[in-house]
Amino acid sequence: MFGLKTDWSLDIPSRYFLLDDYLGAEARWCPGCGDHAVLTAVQRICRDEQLPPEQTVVVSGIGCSSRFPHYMGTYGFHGLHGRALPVACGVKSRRPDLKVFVATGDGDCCSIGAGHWIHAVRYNMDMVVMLFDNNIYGLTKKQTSPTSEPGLRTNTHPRGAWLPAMNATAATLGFTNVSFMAQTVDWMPGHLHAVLQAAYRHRGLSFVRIAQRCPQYTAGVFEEYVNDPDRLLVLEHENGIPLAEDLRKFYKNRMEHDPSDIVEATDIALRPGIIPIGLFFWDPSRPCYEDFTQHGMDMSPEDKIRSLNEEMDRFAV
Amino acid sequence: MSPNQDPSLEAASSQPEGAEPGTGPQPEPAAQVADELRLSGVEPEPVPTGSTRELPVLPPPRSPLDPQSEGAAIRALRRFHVVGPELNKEDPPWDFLPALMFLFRDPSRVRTKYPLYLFPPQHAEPDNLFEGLRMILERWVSDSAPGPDQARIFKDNFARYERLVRKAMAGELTPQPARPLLATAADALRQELGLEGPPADELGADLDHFLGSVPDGAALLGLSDSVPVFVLLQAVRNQLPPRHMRFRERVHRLLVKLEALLEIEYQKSPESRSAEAVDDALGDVAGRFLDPGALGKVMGAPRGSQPMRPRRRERIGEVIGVLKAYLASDPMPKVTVVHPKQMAASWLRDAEGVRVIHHAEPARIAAEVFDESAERMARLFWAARVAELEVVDEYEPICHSPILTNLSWRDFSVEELRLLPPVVALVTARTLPDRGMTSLSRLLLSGRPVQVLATVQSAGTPGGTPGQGPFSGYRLELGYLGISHREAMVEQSSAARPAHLVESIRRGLKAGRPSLHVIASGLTFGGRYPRLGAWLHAGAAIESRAHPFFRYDPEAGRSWAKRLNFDGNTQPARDWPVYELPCFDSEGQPASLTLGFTFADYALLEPVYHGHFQPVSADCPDDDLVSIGTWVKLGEEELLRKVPTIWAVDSKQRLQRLAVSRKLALSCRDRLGFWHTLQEMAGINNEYARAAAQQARGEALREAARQLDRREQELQAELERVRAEEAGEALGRLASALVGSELAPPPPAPVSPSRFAAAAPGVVAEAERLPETSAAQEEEDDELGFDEPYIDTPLCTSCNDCTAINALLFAYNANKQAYIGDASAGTFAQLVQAAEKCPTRCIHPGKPMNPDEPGLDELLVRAARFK
Repeated sequence: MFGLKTDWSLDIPSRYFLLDDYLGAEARWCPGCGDHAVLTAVQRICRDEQLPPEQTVVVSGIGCSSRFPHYMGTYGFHGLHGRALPVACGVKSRRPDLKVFVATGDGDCCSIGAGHWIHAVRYNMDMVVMLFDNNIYGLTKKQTSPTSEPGLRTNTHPRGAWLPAMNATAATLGFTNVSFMAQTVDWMPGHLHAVLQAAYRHRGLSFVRIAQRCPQYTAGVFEEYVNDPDRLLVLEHENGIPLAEDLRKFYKNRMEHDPSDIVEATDIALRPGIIPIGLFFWDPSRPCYEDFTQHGMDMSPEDKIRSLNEEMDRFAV
Repeated sequence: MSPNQDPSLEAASSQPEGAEPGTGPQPEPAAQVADELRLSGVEPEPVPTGSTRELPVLPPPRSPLDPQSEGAAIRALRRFHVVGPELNKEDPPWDFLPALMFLFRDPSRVRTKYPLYLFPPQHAEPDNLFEGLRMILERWVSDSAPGPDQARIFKDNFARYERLVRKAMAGELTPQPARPLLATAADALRQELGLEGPPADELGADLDHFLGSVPDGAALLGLSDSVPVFVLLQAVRNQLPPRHMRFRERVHRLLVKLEALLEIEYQKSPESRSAEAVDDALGDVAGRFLDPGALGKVMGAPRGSQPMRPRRRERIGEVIGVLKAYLASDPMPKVTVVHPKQMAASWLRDAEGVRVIHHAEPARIAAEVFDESAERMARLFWAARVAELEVVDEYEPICHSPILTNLSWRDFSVEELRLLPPVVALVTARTLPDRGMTSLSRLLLSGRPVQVLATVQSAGTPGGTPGQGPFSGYRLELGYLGISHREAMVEQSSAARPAHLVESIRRGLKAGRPSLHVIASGLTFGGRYPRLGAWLHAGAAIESRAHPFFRYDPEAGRSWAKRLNFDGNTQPARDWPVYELPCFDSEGQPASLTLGFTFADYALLEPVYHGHFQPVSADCPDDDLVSIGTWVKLGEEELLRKVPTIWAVDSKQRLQRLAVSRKLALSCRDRLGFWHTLQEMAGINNEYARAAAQQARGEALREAARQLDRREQELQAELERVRAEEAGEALGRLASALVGSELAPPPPAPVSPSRFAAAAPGVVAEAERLPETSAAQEEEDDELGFDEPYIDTPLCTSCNDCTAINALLFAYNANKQAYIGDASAGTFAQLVQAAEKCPTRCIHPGKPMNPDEPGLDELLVRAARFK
């Protein structure tokens, strides 16, 4: 068939990139930190998708995970606390051709940046948002975060956190115009890679919550889940994210979940005592904000001045 | 599509261009068309995300003008439509492509099946003479590098490598040895990627391994108009030697038997008892003790056996001579190619095992060559047949001599015909006028199994005289003309679909009858190389019904349904293939057009037709424009009021409507008419079949209604009978049961309380199954020894803890996941320390390699946790 026969159309980029092309500064996260795994997964995706480093941007806010842009050999923006998403939306709105990854932590996104979180999901601009959820403020040395479990002893709550932990996954599923919501864990590198790759290939805002271990301050929080694979619930579906064959024998607790069913997705997200992993929700038909904001981007400065003058002349007295 | 979009574009986006009411595709939404395609097995592929920005853009919505301007615009367009290229005096810069081919403006970015990788004869199979290069690469991957991380760099760059191989092949018309070309492309790939260090070594090793897997004798063949000849020669080289090998074995067996017969006869003769003969039989040693002369005299003549008749002995001797001569001859007969002088033939002259004859009338000369060759072979087949009869003493001169002595090719069996040296006539449009057509027709009627390869230009008319334009009359369909000869095999194919082509040629060689292969050259009208390349050009000819595929095989059966094969055509039930073209509107919003790929779209690729198109100005009212697909179905009166158009795309990816001249539009209708003829012959949209199906459907419905009535009557009668026998409640229950069992729908299946609850048993079942596997695995694991240190690499989270301890002992692979690099470069203590630090516990220290390492007892205790 003409026009749509992808098999006939060779898109050969002029350059070829290796993993080394995406390496930045040496990662200074603590030994055993789950962030290392996410960093490698993103670098692999950049390599697999052959993203030109100069066409790739990693945006972050403040926190341990927000050092992510420094460790990537791409462009990056280490922003203000809670402001990773508005910066990323800004990048995407003016440069929709760039591939945008956002690294944000549970404090950065779910607390001070919560307002931006809601609207970034609603704007649904094409980017991958990785929520590094280690249940703690690590950079500021062990303070309670919105996702800290009740009873977790921290420097701000020495006798244990009082409030129920925020369920970031269920919350995201409740935001208007959500188009891609997935969850994974840092200690399953294969699954982590598959989830982030699916997120990258989705057009729209792909929100991925990553349960991430902090060996320094919340060493025991995910210990049970690491030791007991049955505490993870693997979501499977023909439209979902497949679990690699070599992991299937370890992760037997699996269920079929249709990622177009947002009600069931929310029900799964709210189940206590387990970490469901996989694709919760996917709807590629949701509108993307940048599709409405690209008009006039190809205008020359002269065109812009002329248009502006014409507009202003309408109000001339 | 924006709500305030121009209604004309709305119509464009929802109606299939080129679809006509008769075959079902009424104006229908794009989604419906897509569904229908999917049902018919044609899966519309999504546009790759990366190319979204390349999608074409619709023109801005048309603003209504004053009636005078609109009238002037449409009058000018009508004038062009009627007059045609006469009005296009100037030759405008022509950069339009059919809208559906918008992705292929740059041919170097198009993947084709070429160059073909020709297997060496010893590696080829009858049904697999060649493969596309991509398939060869994929096969190498499955054999040598199936893992996702094996040969990653090479696999990532297959497309680049294919392009470099094509570049290395550029300009080569003949098959070239594969390995040097592939090696050249491999060097170019290394250079282009510019890798250094381990990645360069990895790529180099993979390329060397791939090149090492290419056997001697493999060749690469680029797309040119000589491809059909090479495919035919390849098929001959593949098919003929085994046939001759079998026949030679048979001849050899017959010879042995015939010579044994003569030996027996010799033993009956007095000469066999002469002193010399007896002496020879005794040998040196026995001859010293016995007198051969005396012994010969006492030896009696064999009794009870009649000597062979001299005529028979003479015949057998003659047969032996013929068969021996055959065995002494070249085992592989030459292929004779009769070739018009106009064609460049240097490559053919040099081809091994080919005899080339130049003549302006290839069909006639091919018939003569065949006759000569058949006459020579008739003597051999006479000898073989006589030998078969003589060895069993069943040759009856009175009965067999008249038949076998005058053996001609018409008396040959199919097996004998297949042993004849193949004769090929190459004909082109230039050789057909005048006597060329007559001699072709005579050849097809004669029944001589000659292969005729006719290369045609899809835009031209076969048989047209030199200088004759494309609109000199209705097009001569050479394949259809071939079918009229009834007993010849006729196939219309294209080098752009090599699998179809080779199947055609394979069947032709197998058939003991003339075969006409009508093959699209992929060149433009006038024989020039097309701007998009022969692959796309020939592909467009197939899609647009300019060169539809069909095969007429008289050996397939007696009915048309069996004889005519229609495989290979896209969406054969439609007038034109219909596709959904994604695009943007002028506001940048996603939109789509549902378009048919018509003959007019194909004509846009032919320079000779360029003057027959004119861009439609924005002033033209949409009411007077129709798609060419609709136009060709209009009645004669309405046809005069409408201007046919197609959608094209310019070099800036802007969609533009082009008006089509009347001459071209009528040509389009002519092509569609021929397509309809083929469809009917293939049983598609056949009026007779449709009427028969309707009649059968009506009869089936009437029969079903009759049966229902009868059953109801029976039930009613049964009900009344039971009512008469029983009373009250029992009667009611019985009636309900009868009605329930016969008429009511089956009881509903138990409904699961919820979807999740319904899924749960499956989950449980899965969980129950898996432990068995797991247990078996564990047993297997227990049997394995773990003396060597190892890492569960897929579980590694790249945290650098182990590599920080010893970067030689622990190394990262291409995915930045750890594995044991050099096990001798570190200590057991480092292995244990790394295992303890590893956050995913994927490091297993194994057993110490150095028994003298200090503190081993303690280390072994610590290591036990990770075993």
